[in-house]
Amino acid sequence: MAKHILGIHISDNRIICVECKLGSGISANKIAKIDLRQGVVVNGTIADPTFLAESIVEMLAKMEVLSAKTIVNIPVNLAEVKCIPTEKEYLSITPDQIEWEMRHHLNESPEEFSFSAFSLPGSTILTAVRKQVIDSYSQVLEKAGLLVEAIDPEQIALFNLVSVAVGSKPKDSLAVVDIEIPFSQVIYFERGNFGCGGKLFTPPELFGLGEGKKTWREFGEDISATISMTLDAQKQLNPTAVPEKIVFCGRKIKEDIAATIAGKVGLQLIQYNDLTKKRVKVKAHRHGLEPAELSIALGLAAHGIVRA
Amino acid sequence: MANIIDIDLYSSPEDIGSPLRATSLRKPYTSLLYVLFFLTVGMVIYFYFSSHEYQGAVAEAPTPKPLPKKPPLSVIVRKNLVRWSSFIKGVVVFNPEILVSNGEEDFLCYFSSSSIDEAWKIKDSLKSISKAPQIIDTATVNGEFKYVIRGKLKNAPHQNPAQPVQKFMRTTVMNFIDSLAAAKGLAKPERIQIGISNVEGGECFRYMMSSSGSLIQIGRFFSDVIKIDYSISPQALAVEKTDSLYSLKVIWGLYDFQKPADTTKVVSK
Repeated sequence: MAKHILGIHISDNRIICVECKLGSGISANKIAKIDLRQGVVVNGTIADPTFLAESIVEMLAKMEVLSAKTIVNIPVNLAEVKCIPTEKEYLSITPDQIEWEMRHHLNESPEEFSFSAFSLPGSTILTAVRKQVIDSYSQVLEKAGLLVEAIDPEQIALFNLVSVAVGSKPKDSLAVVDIEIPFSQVIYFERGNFGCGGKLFTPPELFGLGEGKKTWREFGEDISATISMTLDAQKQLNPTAVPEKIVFCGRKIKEDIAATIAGKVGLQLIQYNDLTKKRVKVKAHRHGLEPAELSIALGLAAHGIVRA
Repeated sequence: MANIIDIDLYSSPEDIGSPLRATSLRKPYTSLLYVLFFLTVGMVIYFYFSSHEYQGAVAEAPTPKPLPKKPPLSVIVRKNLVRWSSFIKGVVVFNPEILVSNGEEDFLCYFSSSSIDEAWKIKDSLKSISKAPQIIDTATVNGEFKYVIRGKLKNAPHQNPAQPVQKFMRTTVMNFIDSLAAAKGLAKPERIQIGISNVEGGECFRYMMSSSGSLIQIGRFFSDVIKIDYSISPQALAVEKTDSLYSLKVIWGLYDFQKPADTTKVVSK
């Protein structure tokens, strides 16, 4: 029987939910989107959990989902993700070791965080998220009657989506820029290895969601700077890595801006649809969403391939 | 696909109550309910029509089952007399010391024998003239084995019913019975009138006849009493050994009833 799982992407302005059928790739069979009023989720922090839970219940009732298993996001600004070179003993890394390692990257008391780690061939990914944040997200979903299979930082979700999209023998190295409100992020996918990138504030006025004076040009420069920092950091970690391509996902940015950014950082721009067309299928009505806007939700569901 | 990062920050306990699960599984449950509904309806239709096997059959109100026809009083009385006659004629052979009956169906016989084997033989022999004889009590008195057998009378073939004993014929019939007893060697009977009672289909005059004699004589008397062509039947009976003879006490019932119409008559025009 095919496995089904829900990927729920909660952001400040909206909730996107996809129900995916999992196999060697992922196939989004049902998609739903609900716009949230201002103040329900503020900078990733859930301010009105009751309303949020009710909204999710309403959304799921319309979707008629087949599974209650869910993977939900942790906003990029609320998760600490670090990469360290994988050494032999890290394959059996213990929670104490993760915590000890992450102490060096946190400026706050580690007692308030939950830690986890995963070792890839080239790097070990350490994550830390406040327990309070995890509790608030999990409680909302469980209140809505869902079974939380996992909670993933958005960086990880993005990486997992690309992993599914590129197939079993990835040859490319690409920078992935995810434009979300209020924070965008950059990760680096280097032949199946994860590169932790930077995050930057996204001016909501550029997407008609608030007031401000930032321009696309300024935002483009911010993105270029973040990509450069990410690639520099990646070179520190792996001097042999040679970045080749760049892909934009999340909220849609103008094509000329994307091309300008790609030109600035010296990477070849590829389209999100071209990247995902082989193994990530979207069969449902998208409710006005661009395919790239589903990237985090699909990336969350992609985690279900090894979980569900 | 390439590696998927499996971060384990949180997962719900498996047994959380999930109201959504019902929602998410609404379709399968609804389908199942539909299947069950149609099955139930199908079964109801099947059983409904299988009970009306023939096409166009009309449901009929159940008719009350006719009660078994009860024979007329004349037949019952005759049957009772013949049954007793047959039984006493047979039981005197086994030489009971006491024979008691309610006159209708049940009897008790008190026997004396030298061994238990003989008692079993008599009990088995009684099967030929009675139904389900059972030894219900035993005792050993003065070296003799005493036992009581209980049983029920067996039906015997009987002829046509006798005529009723009308009021003015009672004394005559009683004289017939006394004469028969005397003819069979019994002592002169004594009579005690008991009374008249209504029975279903007529009325019954009762009196007690007391006499004495040997068992053979009593047997002969009962053997021939059926030759009296009147509706008489013992209501109660006691035969008891006293010294060398047996005392006989019978409560006779003389029945009077409406004579059935003679269907053999031909009305001449």
